[in-house]
Amino acid sequence: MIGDPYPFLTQEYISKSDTLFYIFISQGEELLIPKAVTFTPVEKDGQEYYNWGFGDLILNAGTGEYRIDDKIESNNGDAKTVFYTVVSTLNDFFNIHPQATVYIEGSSQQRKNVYRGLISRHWKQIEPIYLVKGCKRGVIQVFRPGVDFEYILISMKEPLNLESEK
Amino acid sequence: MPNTVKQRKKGLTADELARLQHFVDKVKAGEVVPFKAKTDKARKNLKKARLIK
Repeated sequence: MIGDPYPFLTQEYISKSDTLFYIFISQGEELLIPKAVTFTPVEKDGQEYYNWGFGDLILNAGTGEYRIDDKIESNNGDAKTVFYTVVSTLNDFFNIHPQATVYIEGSSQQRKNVYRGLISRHWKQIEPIYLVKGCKRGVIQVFRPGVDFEYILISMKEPLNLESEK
Repeated sequence: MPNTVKQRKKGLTADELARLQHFVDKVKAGEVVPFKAKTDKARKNLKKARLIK
């Protein structure tokens, strides 16, 4: 772990849809914002791919129901802790799907920049454990800090040694 | 793994927590599919990159 995460309010593995689903509360300087993290299957035939989604849970005043918004910029002053919390879900995921690849794409250029910056900043901790690739102009290549990728693919370098990484 | 909201968080009302739990229940039941559009886009991009068929 590269930093202290928030505790999870909910953590579920939904076997029916093969979805990992988490809720935690961003506890910034002013606001408490529920946030959702999910791993949902993209492709399970052959090489397995899962989308890693992350967004704010917004209460719709009209319907009284929550919905996920992954475009909102909440700027709650706790981006690092939120990042550590989201990253902490990777271990759970790879415990269930050690051979799979995680797909992540920021919902806006700002978010892409934030993800790239945080990965780059923690590259020394990430690189020994995970194989990180990115897509740039349709070409998949090994992640390099500072390069603006359209989306990122993450897999375990040594799936069989997962337990020793914990 | 636990399957319900664990505890009341400071600042979140009981009503908000109940509504969050309702949302979780809908996800579990398959009535809400989180990030469906993003997952569909991921599938399209992975096909384009010929990583999946």
